[in-house]
Amino acid sequence: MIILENLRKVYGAAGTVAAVDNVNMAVQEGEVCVLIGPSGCGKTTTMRMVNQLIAPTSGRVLIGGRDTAEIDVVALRRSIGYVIQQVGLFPNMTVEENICVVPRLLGWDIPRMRARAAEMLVMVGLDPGEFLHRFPSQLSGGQQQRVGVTRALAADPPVLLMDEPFGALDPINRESIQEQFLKMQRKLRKTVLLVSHDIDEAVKMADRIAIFRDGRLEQIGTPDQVLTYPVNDFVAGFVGADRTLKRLRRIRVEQVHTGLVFTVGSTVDLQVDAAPGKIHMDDAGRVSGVVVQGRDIGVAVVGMDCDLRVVVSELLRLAVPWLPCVDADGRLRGVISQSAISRYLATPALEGSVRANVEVGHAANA
Amino acid sequence: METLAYMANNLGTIAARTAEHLSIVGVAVTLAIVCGVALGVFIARRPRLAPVVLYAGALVITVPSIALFGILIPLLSVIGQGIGWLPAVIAVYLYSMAPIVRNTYTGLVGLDPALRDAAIGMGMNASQRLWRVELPNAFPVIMAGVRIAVVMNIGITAIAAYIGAGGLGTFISRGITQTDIRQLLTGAVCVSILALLSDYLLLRLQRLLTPPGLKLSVS
Repeated sequence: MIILENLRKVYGAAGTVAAVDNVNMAVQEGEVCVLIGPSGCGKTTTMRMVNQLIAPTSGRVLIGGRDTAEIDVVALRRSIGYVIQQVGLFPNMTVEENICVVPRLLGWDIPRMRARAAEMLVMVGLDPGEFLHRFPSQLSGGQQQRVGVTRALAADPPVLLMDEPFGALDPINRESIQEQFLKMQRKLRKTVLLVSHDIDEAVKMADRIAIFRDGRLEQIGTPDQVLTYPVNDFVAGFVGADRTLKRLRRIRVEQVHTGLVFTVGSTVDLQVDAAPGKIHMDDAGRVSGVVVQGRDIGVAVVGMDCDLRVVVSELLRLAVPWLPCVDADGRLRGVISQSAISRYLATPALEGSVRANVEVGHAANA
Repeated sequence: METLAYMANNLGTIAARTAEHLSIVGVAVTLAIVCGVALGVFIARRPRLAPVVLYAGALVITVPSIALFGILIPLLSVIGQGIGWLPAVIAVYLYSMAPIVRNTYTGLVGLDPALRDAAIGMGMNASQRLWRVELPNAFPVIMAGVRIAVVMNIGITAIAAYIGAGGLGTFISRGITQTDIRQLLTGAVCVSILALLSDYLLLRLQRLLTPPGLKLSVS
């Protein structure tokens, strides 16, 4: 866990400019916390005070309960992974040597370093046989940052600092490396502080978002909290007028769908929020056809683990008020409706009471 | 033709003079590499001091070599070394410092700041940063400075014959005083060949020692 206590950084001879002004916050163990705000808001300065690249004017940073000011600065930095936007791979070293920089500083033996480098490369989807002995100049931008992330994680530090790590990548590369990082993070459970200026990235990556302005922490909360209840006009403006749409990304069908009781292999005849329809199933319970408001829309379904962005997009594309939802094997689980989504978005705290109003008629034979 | 015959008849002397020549340049430049790289590293971390040092270095180069030898005579006479090998080495050393200091400084401050940020952020101390990251990546630029120093000073050392330091310049000074074109040409040709050959060999050395990852980014 990282705790920032009354953290302050003042520049200028008379202490005139407060780059970071009395920031108090905690990052939980295993959590991704995204620091975000317009440029000059103090987010990067705050992050750089965690590994003492910038010395605080006053206040404390505690990692795992220890005041970082009392830890030797070099030892502290070796125990914190560090990823920067410009990657900063050392051009004179191979990929393997780059990954092993911190393990080597820590005095690991060579076989252990070799094994670790190969293992880390596999984790970011690069073939060790092909990449270990390449030089940074022989890698694409996306590959370089994958190696950059690998290098930060090589010595298995509990804490990871990332300064706009994916900011310099093209959108396609960024998307894929973000996904990959989230996948790794689910397994590794590092305590991550990530600086970003991209609210979409924050919504996608963060367990919690901390929004900064003029050196002050304006709001910290889960993406859903920040998007639903911005504390002031600045935060509301920063997250954007389309903040409700942004919330959709972090809500999954599971949280909003209405379960159905039915007989496998039948046709369910139902009314969802007063819109009638039929769902046909095969003998395994897999949806084989959907009719909504008298219109046959084929096998149009959404998965339980889809996010609501996908659902809304499908609802709009098909111009229907609801769709059946299915599990990973395509078996019917329930329905999700436009009005249930609206009600969920309007009253997130009352999750239990927003189900669609479903009346199941007589179950006809398939 | 006469000159060639002269050279052929005096191969032993030419070899001895070349050895003297190289001992002056070699000793002086080696010292200048040690001090110059150290000074370059020192000023690369002190942005206020750097322009002063670089300017002083440029000033030394503007002193004509014959004048510098002249200045050194009374100074070194104190220890009985006013003329000969020592003042030549000192002069060449002084002339070599400027290109080596300048190129070390340029090579280091020209490195991508992200390298420095990453190295510090990952927990390298100052000397690890210098030896593992900064010097290897600045090496081609530093080495270019060494080559400039060597080529320039092979020429300057020829003049050191006038203060009795020996070397290939002896052929030239005798050629002038005895109006002997054969000796004059022998000296001039040998100095040129020595300069070109040294530059070529140092370039080969530079390529050999440059970290492979840097060669790739250049090509």
